[in-house]
Amino acid sequence: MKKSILLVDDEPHVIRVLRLMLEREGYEVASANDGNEALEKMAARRPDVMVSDIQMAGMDGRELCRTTRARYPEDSFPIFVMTSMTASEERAWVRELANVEFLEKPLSPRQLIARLTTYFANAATQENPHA
Amino acid sequence: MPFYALIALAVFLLVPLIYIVIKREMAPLAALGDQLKTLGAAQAQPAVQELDAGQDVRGLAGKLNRYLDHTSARIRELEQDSIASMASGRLLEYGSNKMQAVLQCLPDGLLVLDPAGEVTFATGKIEPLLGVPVAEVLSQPVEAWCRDPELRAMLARFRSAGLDARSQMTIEFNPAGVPGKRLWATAQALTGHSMAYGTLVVLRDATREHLARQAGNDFVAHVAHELKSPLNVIGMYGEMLADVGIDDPAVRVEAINVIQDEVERMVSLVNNLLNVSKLEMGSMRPERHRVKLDDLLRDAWQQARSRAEAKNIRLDLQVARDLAAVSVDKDMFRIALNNLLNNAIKYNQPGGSVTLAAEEGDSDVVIAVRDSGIGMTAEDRERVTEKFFRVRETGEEQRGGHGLGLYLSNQIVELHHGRLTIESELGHGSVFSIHLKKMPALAEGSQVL
Repeated sequence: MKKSILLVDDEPHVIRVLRLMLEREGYEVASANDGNEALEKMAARRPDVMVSDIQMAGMDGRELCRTTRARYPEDSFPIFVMTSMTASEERAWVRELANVEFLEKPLSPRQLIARLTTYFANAATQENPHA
Repeated sequence: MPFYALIALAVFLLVPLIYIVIKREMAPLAALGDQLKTLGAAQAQPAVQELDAGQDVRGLAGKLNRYLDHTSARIRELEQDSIASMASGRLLEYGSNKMQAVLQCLPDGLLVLDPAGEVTFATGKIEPLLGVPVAEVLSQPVEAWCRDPELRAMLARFRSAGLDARSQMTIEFNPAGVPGKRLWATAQALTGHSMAYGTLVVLRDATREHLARQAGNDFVAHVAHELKSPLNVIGMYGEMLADVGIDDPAVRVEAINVIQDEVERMVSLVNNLLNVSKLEMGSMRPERHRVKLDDLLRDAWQQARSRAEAKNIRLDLQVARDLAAVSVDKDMFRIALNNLLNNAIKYNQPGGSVTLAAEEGDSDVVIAVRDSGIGMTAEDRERVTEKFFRVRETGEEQRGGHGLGLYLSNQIVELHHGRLTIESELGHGSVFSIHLKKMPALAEGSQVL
């Protein structure tokens, strides 16, 4: 079964490029403009990985991450947050949450694909260590 | 009987004799008394009479006389000294008052602490700076009145470090008693003429410097962010062009278009930044010349047309050929006009229209840029010419302005003593109008730029 990725960003160009390149790698891609829309998409289908921007109009990435973790405590799928900020306060709230990692902006789609490939390969080994 | 009569006669004769003798002997004493009286009346030059010497009382009078001479001379000297010292006292008081006035007038607040840490002197400026009145501070230890832990800690550190005339300690802090203020406090040993008078604390208002520094930091952060966003998009489309574009011509075209748009956005940001910096450094001074407005407007319209066409927006021009001349700096005015036209195209929808029009009033020429675009709320309209202000965008399409174009246009129009007015309604487009003073008509054959 295809792995599903939820992309959350208010910059349509970013969604457009990531969608195209991830689909080409065989992922199933859903997208949302802001946190609220992302929560709606999540309610319909839980993604395997969420990739989200932080600064967004409406519900921002920080609130989205917190709400997601609070709403689905049993399912801590990885969240990658994209940020051009390297401020320590941002690192602090990310560290508080389980399984949230940074993606540095300017974002390279190839790097994201590499991170996803590594993650899914590790997850497969852990699930089925004798495979 | 004759014996008694004889005695009576002798007494009768002796009494006047004795009286005369006594009177004669007492005369210098009386003169001395007179003289003392005169001295008592503080007369500058008592007229000392020459008294007969020789007899005992006269000798005494002579000595007293000489003593009086010395004394009155001494009194004269002392009187002169007292006048001189009174004068120098007044001079000192005047000097000290003047120095006090100078210290009170200094924009900085001053405090002097004695070696035990008590305040021995404070200027009135500490009240607006620290929010503590002078009366509460004087003769009190710092701990009794100071509500700022940073200042207390610095003074304690300074005291424990020992008095060294060369060392200074400075801190920057927000005083607890005056919200929004930023202060510099410097402590140094107060010494001079090989005396140590304690510690001098200078408090300086650094609010403006602090705000300027903060504005500078905000500006850099903002510009970095504004440059990073298009760079991010360019980088991503670049990768996509290399990876996907090779086999997909549609993706190739899309990527190239987006990259071009983003480069244009960065170029316009950088240009506007340079212009804003020139404007704020004061080096943007309009060189105004008499300009034929219809040519200028026609040029701007021509330049903007291709951009409008690319977005499927109609760009109309309604300018009469014989429009009055205005006095403007052509290059600067073009920047203002282009920013208005770019906005009208950018904040529009496909199939929409933009009209560049100019009308002549009695004393003004009004250049209007009308669009059928997204418009804005009354609240946004108030703030749209503020530096870095951006209308919050909702909906699918993001237009990616950087909040400098209208700020710059407005500043340029104001440099030309004109006015920029805005009419707008959310969802129903906007009209940006530049009002400029007309120039009187020229005699025929005159040269116009």
